[in-house]
Amino acid sequence: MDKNRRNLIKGAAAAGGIAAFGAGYYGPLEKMGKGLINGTAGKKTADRLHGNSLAPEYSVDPQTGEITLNQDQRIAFTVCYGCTTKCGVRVRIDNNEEKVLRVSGNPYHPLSADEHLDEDIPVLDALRGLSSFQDQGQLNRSTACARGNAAMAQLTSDNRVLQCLKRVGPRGSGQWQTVSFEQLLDEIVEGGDLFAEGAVDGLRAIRDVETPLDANNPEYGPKANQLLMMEATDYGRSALLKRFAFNAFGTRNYGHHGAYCGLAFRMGSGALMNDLAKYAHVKPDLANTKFALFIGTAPSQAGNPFKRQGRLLAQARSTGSLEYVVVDPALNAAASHAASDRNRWISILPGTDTALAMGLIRWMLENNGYAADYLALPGNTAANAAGEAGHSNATHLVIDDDSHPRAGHFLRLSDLGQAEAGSESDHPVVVNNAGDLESAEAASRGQLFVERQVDTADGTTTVRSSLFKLRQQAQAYSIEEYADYCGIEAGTIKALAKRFARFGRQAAADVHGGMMSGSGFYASWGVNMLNLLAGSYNHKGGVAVGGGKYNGMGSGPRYDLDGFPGKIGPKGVFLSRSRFPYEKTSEYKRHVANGESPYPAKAPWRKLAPPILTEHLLSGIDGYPYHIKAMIGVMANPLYGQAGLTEMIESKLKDPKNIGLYVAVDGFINETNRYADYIVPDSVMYEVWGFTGAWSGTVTKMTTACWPVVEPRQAKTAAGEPVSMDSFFIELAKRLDLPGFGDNAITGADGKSYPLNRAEDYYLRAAANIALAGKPLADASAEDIHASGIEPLMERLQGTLTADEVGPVAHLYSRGGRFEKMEKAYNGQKLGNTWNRPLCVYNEEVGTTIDSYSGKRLVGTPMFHPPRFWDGSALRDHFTQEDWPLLAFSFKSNLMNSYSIGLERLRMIKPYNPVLLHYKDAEKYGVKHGDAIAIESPGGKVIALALVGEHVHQGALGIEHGYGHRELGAGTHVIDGEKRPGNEYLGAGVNLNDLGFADPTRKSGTATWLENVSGASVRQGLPVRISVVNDLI
Amino acid sequence: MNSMVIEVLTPRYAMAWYPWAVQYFFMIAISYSALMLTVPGLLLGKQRFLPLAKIALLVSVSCTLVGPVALLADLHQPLRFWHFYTNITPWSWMSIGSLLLPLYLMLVVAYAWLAWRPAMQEQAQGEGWMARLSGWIALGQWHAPRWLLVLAGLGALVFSFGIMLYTGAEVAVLQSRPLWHTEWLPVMFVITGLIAAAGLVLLLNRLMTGNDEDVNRQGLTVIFVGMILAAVVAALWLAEGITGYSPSVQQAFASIKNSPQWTAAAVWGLLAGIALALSAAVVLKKQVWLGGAWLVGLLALHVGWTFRWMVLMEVQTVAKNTAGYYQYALEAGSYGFMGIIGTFGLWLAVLLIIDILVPWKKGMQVRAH
Repeated sequence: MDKNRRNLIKGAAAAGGIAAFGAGYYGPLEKMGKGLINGTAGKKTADRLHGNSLAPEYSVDPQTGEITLNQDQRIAFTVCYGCTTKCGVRVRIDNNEEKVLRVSGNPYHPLSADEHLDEDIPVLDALRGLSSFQDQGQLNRSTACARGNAAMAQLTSDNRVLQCLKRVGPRGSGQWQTVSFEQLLDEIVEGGDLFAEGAVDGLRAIRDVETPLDANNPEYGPKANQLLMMEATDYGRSALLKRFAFNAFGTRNYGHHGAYCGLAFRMGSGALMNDLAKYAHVKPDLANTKFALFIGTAPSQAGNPFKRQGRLLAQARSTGSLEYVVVDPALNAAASHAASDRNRWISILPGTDTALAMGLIRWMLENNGYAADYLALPGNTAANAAGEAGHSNATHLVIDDDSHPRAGHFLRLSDLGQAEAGSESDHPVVVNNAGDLESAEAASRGQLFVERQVDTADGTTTVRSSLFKLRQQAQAYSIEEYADYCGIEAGTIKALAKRFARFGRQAAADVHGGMMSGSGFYASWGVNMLNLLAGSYNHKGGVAVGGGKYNGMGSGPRYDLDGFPGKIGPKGVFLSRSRFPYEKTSEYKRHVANGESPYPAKAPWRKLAPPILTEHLLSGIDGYPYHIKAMIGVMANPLYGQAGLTEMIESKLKDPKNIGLYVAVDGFINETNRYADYIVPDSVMYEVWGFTGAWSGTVTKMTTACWPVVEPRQAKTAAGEPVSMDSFFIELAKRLDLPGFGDNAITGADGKSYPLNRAEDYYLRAAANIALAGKPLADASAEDIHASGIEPLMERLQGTLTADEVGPVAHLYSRGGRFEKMEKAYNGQKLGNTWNRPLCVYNEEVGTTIDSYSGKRLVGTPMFHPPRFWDGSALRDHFTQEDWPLLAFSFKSNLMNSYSIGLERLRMIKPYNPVLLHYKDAEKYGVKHGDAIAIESPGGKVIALALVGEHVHQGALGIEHGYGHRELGAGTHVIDGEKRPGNEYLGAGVNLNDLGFADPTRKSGTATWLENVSGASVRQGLPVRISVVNDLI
Repeated sequence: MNSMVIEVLTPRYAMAWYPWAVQYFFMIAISYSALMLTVPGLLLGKQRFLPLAKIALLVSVSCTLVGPVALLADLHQPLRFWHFYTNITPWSWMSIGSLLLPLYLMLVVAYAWLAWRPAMQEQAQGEGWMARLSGWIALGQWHAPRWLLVLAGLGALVFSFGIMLYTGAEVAVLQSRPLWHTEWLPVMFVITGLIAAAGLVLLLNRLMTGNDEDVNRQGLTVIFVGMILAAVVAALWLAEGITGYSPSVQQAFASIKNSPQWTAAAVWGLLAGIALALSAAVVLKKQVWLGGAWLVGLLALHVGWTFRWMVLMEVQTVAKNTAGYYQYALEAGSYGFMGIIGTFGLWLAVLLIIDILVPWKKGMQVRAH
């Protein structure tokens, strides 16, 4: 080839090479260009050393301690909705953008501090104490937990509902249109053909407080009972909801999440504490307890108040003298090598807690492992003389003969003819140390184990002391048999009982959601009984009922927020057939009149249980006792929370013929309210009003003052108020012309009438009640007002309250609530706040309640029984070990709660929940760590990843709660024609409740598996089987 | 194992070193290795090695010019390279390298300039723009004494030892990556560099100098001996780990032994290495196949480049603070596939431009097959 031609070709190739180089070097060239122009190819940060960090909200001079507040930011105290602990938090807000920057704890708040600050300490001093000035910061620092920190993303979440929505298309189709608040109210009040599906009864038509809804069963109450009110829980605002529901609208029917959260625990505790109305409960006094037994609760991540408990636990096990044992099917964060010998984990099979409890009780009763002196105190006289805060009924005699007309009741003086029946002096009878029958209030001591014949007015009968009966139940099986049943070695049970007993009155047993099994009521009672036997109630280092709440919503010192002219007392039988004995129903009387056996009833009538959502919904659709016509749900999500409910109710909820009207008040669309007809956008945390209560374990009295520290972001009413639960009920009541709302709805102590037109009309007056109760709070200083960010609130205070109320109420909000001083927590060796009712070894109410299936009396003490269905048959009678070899259970996540899946910062740490599987079970079923497995129950099937190891009891399958969502951002919705796509990652993981199933012994389609006495949803111990999934796409 | 334990120490890290680094290491290794290949012919004057030396010189210069361009791109902000010279950090190999590299580059260019000058001067005698250009490049007609060439060559050689040392050491010094942390790594870089350089020489021999027999034989010998040495080094490294002599090497094994990808890569490396050594030996033995030496050269280039890719890029996917591996997907753009293609494109352009302008083959007696 010609040289020039060759060169030309080489030149062309070289040019091609240069071109390729140009294309390949483009990136570095771009960076170089940006670098030349901007000095950097990256984005410039605000500071060259600490990047884009926030300016501090205030700074403290390290020498003088002088505080300089940052004028661009403010902090304010309010409540956190990250879980139902409802800690008091301090929220840091950018003044210019009105945006929440960060959240931490309120140092005045007992849930957010080790020893909370006295409320008379000025706010600036409190802020100074949080800094490193004189090294106070470590001592006084007040924090929020991981979820509390991350939760602020809810305010600005893309998934938030900000407008009133009305459904377009069938229920659950995810099609919505925005409507005005006023139009929404009009439609739900008047009803009509709202969805082109036929006529819908409006609330005005339903609200009839006179006409009985069933003439044949007048005890069912008026037609107004056909409105069902649902709520998640009391976040400090329920009083207003209840004012509307019970006392203005006049419906009986209200339910919250309790029946699918921890009701079995609450009722078992209530049975012991003689409180089957409010179900009081206790928590260990962790600061002073010497030995704690945590059964079915994990104080580092659950069992409210978990942030406080987690901190106290960590302190007690490291620098204190606490030793503890965690009994749980799963190894959770409460048991930790960080505490080395101070703690142990004992694994147990789910649903077998009655066996463990009775085994421990048996050992304690047979080996003198109980506080004999304390239990021998028969009455208040003896207790006061002995310096005790209360007594138990261990020595009281129970009429234990079925033929006696008062079988199951305590033997009383009136039975012996020594007093008038029902009078104040008709005390129970005990056998005193001399061996004679004596009044419990007269004897100084009673004998603990008594069994004898007694002559009564109705004949000779056998009586046994409560403690005798407890021992009878405990001795029904050997400890070896209990051990076999629950999967804990007999030697371990005995050693555990011995260790527990050794610490006497400073030993505490704690229990919570782990009791939601088919034997949960008696299990909870049995575990709580350990505390009674040890004598640790009301004792320092024992178990504490807590300080209680400053209640501003009653008939307070300034305003009566309870009574109002025209107030209605709701009447009738609850949809859930709770609190009403079956024997009193017209139905029962008809059976008896016809000579038929009234048992079994058509469905459970639970005299002891509170109104429960687990029955309300399905019963209201089934129509027994009656139908629901309308439903209002505030932040409620039973389809996610109740085991087996979705499968059973989904198609029925979709059909408007079952429930004509469903209005949801919520900031987000969840698995339940996606079937709503209307969604009213609610304020989310930091935007809400309210006054919360306290959990047990907070040993001082308190309430958290919640107020909108930032302007709510959702739509406004025509009057300019934010649309929220409060404005919804107020405006709804006014439209329905209901009493108790609108002008002249609130009576002051001065006799004047005040309006209830806006949320603050109610809450600020409740604040006045709280601030001026007992010893009134001092006025807030100007610095307090400025430093605590309540300046935006002052105008509202001045506009709503009287002049002398403004100062103390400002003080209340400037501290984030009202909190009893730390020094009130203890009174010598006793707790400052005590529970004075007689504690029940035998509960007379329980022992005289008749089971509506069998017609027999319930056992009145803790007892062993396997998880069972309504007809009393055992789980394993229906679902055998061979077919369903594993038992699924759930536990609380230390990060995710049931509605926090949208928080990206939490998902970045834990995006889904692998299920816990024991390695021996894994071997048996051919599962390797990380395999995808199908988990099948009699009611459902899910696919999960297997986390194989030793961290779960063999035979159990653990599922962390908070994942497996279909909504809250995971589902797609169309609003005004615009698609809001779901994020499939929010649907990651599994929900144990998808494995729930129907009670096979109840009428088909009317009930998921519920615990007998309480009606609590059963989720611990669901029978399942697993198999490896090979062909996942 | 507690499911409550959640790892929070392993956020997603971007790759710290880009494919640009691989290109630099590849280019610079060929550069110093090819430089060594010029020594017998150009410095020691052995006639037998002159053709080899001439090709190797072209290879060396072209790679020396392109390497630093790739290196610059590996800096996350390339223009920041001047910081090296205002912040000299003598305990850092990279800092030392920043001083060595420009000097090395200048010496290699000087060496080549001196070697090609006579031919350029001759070309300058002719007519046309090429002649005039040659005259400028040659910078006059004065005769450069031989000792100047030797000095330049020796100087470049000395600095090349520095380059060999610093490029290997700056990678091997990281204790946090056990797969890098071995004294054998710099040695292996040099050996595979020689193999790759010989391979490139064989390829250019086929394409540009008529497949000279001697060059083929010499190149294949370098490859064969290099592979034996590489096998010895690899065996020594493995022995250090297996016997427990070096806990760091044991760590290295542990970090990849459960990965099927790494096992596959190791098997591939073993097979390729065996194939290369065998093919070099066989072609050397069988005269008739000597004309196909360039194919062995391609395989040698593959081995040399892939070794660097595995060491510099794939090792970065082994997680440092946890168990497991990151996923690295080669991107299409500058910092991925196009970057690689671009570097080779630039090299091709430099090669061809020199080839057009410089009569580097002058005086070469080709003994073709």
